[in-house]
Amino acid sequence: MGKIFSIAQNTFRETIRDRVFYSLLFFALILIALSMILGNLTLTKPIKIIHDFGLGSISIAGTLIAIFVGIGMLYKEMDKRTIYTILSKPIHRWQFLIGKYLGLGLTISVEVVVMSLIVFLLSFYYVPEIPLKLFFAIVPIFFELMLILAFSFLFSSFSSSFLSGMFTLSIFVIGHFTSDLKMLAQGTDNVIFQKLSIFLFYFLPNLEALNFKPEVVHNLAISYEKLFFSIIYAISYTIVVLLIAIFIFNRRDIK
Amino acid sequence: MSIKNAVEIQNLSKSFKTGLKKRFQALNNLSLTIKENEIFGYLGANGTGKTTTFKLMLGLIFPDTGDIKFWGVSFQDVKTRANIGYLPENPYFYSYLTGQESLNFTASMFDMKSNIKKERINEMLDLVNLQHAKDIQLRKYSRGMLQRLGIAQALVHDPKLLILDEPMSGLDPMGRKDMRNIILSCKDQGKTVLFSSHIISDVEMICDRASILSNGVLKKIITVDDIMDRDSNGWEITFKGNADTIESINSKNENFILKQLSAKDIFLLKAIDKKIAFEILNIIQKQGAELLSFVPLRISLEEIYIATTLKKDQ
Amino acid sequence: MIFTALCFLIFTILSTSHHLEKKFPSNLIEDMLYLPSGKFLKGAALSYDEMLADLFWIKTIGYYGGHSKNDHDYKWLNNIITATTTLDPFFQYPYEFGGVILSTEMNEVDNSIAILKKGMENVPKTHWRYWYFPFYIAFNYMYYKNDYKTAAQYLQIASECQGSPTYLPLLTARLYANTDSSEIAIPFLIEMIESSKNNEQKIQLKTRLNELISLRNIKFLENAKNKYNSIFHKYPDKLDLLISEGIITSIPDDPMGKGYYISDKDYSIKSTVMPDQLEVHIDKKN
Repeated sequence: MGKIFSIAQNTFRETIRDRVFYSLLFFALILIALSMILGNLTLTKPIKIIHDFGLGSISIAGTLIAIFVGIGMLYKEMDKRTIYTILSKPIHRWQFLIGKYLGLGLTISVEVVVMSLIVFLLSFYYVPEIPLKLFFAIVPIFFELMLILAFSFLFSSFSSSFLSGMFTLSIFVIGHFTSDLKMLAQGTDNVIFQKLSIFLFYFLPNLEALNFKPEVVHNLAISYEKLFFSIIYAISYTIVVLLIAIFIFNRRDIK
Repeated sequence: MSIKNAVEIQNLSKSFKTGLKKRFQALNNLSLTIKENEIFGYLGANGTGKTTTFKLMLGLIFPDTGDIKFWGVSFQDVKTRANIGYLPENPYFYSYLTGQESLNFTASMFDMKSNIKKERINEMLDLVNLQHAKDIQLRKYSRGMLQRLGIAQALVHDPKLLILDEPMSGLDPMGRKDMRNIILSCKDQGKTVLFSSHIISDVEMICDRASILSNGVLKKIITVDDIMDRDSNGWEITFKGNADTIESINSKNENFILKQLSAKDIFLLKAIDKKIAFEILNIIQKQGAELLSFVPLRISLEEIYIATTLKKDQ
Repeated sequence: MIFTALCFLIFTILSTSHHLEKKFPSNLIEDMLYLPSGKFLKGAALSYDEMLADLFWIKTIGYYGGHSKNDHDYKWLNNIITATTTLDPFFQYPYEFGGVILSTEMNEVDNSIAILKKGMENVPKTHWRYWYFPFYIAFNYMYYKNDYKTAAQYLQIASECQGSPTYLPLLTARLYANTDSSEIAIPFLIEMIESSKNNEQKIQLKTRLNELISLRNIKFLENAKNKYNSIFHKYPDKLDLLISEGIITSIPDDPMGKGYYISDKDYSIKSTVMPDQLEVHIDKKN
C-alpha cells in the first residue's frame, strides 16, 4: 500500500501546482467577493447571502476542479507518457488508479478547507460567531465532490478528455435533476414516463441527496439520520463507480 | 547448469483498430527466446512492431494471442516486472520533480527498504553522472540528461532483465559510448539486456545475438559472432604498385579481380579464395610494393538487414 | 505604427460603446420579460438555488427601487417574486415584501394574498417573522375586501404565532366587533411602517396612514359638528366653537394639511392639503 501512497503523494504535488486549480480557486474567491457586494444591496441581513454564496462557491470550485483537473491530469499522463514508467513497474493498475484518486481527493480537500476558512472568516465579520452549522452542508458537499471525481475517473478510463469532461458535467447536471424529475413525473398520467423517471432516479446518482444548503442557511432542523444515510449512499456509489473504472482501465491498451 | 531463458515469447500477435472495420496487424505470430545473460539486439525499422513487443511484455497493452514468460513466469503476473528495468523511447517524467525525487518515486514502486533505496539512488546518480544535477528540476534537463536519468530509473532496483527502447536515440557520440559501456557492464553483472534499435553499428558492437523484425514478422535471428567470423565474401587488397608488380600478379592467372583506382598507381584487388589472397599478398611484399590495406570482406549486418527487409513477405 | 493602430482601435471601442449606451440605453427594455417560470428555474440552478434566489432578490430590489422613483409601475414584480420564492421557498422576506407592495401600491390584492399564503406554506412556523404573513393577509381582507370575518380569522392565527406583537388579540377582538375600517387599519399601517426596511415603501405607507388618520379626524369632527347641531340647531361657523362649547377638548392635528375647517357652503369638515408631505411622528402606543 506504500505504492498507492507514493502515487497519491505525487499526484497531490502535481495537481496542487496545476494552473487550472488556482484559476478555479480564484474564481471561487471572486464569487465570495461578489457576495459581499450583494450583501450591501439587500434589504435583509447580508449573512444569508454570504452563506449562500460561500457554500455555493465551495461547491462550484470543487466540482469544476473534480471535472477539469481530474480529467486533465489523466489526459496529461497519457499524453506525456509518464504513465509508461509507472505501469511498467510491479504495480497493479488499480493501485495506480486509486493512488491518483486519493491524491486528487486530497487536493480537493485542500480547496474545501481553504474556501471554508475564508467563508468562516467572512461570516464572522458580519456576525461575530463561528458558523459551525455550515459544516452540515460542507461535509456532504465534500462527499458529492468525491463522487463527481469518481465519475471523472470512470469516463477518463475509456474516452477522450473532451468527451470525459462533457459526460461528467452531464452527470452533475442530471444528478441534480433526477429527484425533481421523479416528482414531476408522478404528477403526469404517463406511466412509461413515471417508470422511466423512477429508474433513472435510482440508477443515476442523486446528487440532491447531498445538498443540505437550504436547511443550513435557513436554520431548519437537520436530520442526522438523513445526513448519515446520504453519506453512506455517496460512499457506496463512489466505490461502485471506482470499481467500474478499475474494471475498464484494467483492460485498456495504453498506446 | 542449463542456461535458463530470460524471456520466452510464443506466437505473439497484436492488431490495432484503425477504422470502423480496418485493423492493422502490428505483430504477427512472433516467437522469440532471449537467453539469460545475453545482450540481444532487436532490429527493425520504425513502425515494425519493436515498441509494440515491449509494451506487450510490460503489460501496457494486451495481446490478441500468444504468451510471454519471464524465467518461466507468465507476463500476466505483475510480480515479473520487479525484475525488469524498462527504458521507454523518449522517456517522460514529472517535470516538476528533481532528479533525485524522480528516482525516489520510481524506486517506491518496488518493494525496497528505504536505506537500500537511498544507496541505490546514489549509486545510479553516480553511474549516469547526474549527481551534480540531482536537485535540479527535470524540466531543466537536456535530452541527454533525461535519457541518462531514464537508464538510472531502469536500473535503480537492480533488475535481472533490461528492456531498452532505442536507448541511443538523442545521445551524442560520447553519450552513446557511455550507454554502450553501461550495457556491457550490465552483462558483466549477470544481467540480460534486450534493446531495440535501428542503428546497425550499435548492435554490431555490443550484441551477442540480434533479430530482424519487418512488418510485425520476425524475419531472422543472427548470432553476431558468426557474422564476424564469416569470410565467405573474400578478401580485398589495396596497394600501390608498379608495372612489374601488376605483371607478377597477373601471371598468377588465378581467380581474382584487379582494378586500377585513381592515378598514382593504386590498385584494388578482390579475391574470393583466402589462399589466393595470401599468395598475392606475398607477391606484393616480395615486389616491394606498398601495401595499403588488407581487408577480409564479411557480409555486414547492414547488408543482411537490408536483404532481409527487402525480401517479400512469404 | 502598431502603437497608433492600437490607440485608434481603443478609441473606436470606447466611442462606439459610449454612443450605443447613449442612443440605445440597455435599461429601456426590461429583461423581466424573459424570466422563465420559477419551477423551471429550480431545476436549472443545480443545487445553487439559494444563490440564484439571492440574485433574483437583488434584482427585485433594484427593479422596485428604480420604478419607485419615477413611474411607480411594477408590473413584473409578481413574476420575479414568484420566481424568487420558488427557487428558495424558505427565504422569508421576499414573500413579505411582495405581499405588501402588491396590495398597497399595485392594488393586486389577490396576488398579494396568494404570495403571502405561499409564504405561510413554505416558511417554517418557527421563523421569527412568520406571524407577519397572516397579519398582512388579515389586513388585505379587512382593508380591501371588507371581509372582517376572514380578516379576524387570520389575525387570530397571527396572534398565536411566536413573536407576534402583544396588541394583536385586542385588535382581533375589534375586528370581530366590526369596528370602522379606518380605525382598524391604523394600527396595521403603523406596524407595517415599523416593519418596512425600504424608505420608498415607508413613505408610501406613511401617506396612507396619514390619509386614514385624517379620515378619522374628520369623522371625529363631523360627529362633534352633528352633536353641536343637535344641541344648537345649527352648524358652527368655526371649529373653535366646538371647543368653547365643551363638545370636544381639542381639534386634532391635520397630518395631511395645515388644519381642519368647516366649509361655509355645506358645513362639511375639510382639510387644507399641503403639497409636500408632513413628517408625522408616529406614536406606537396610540
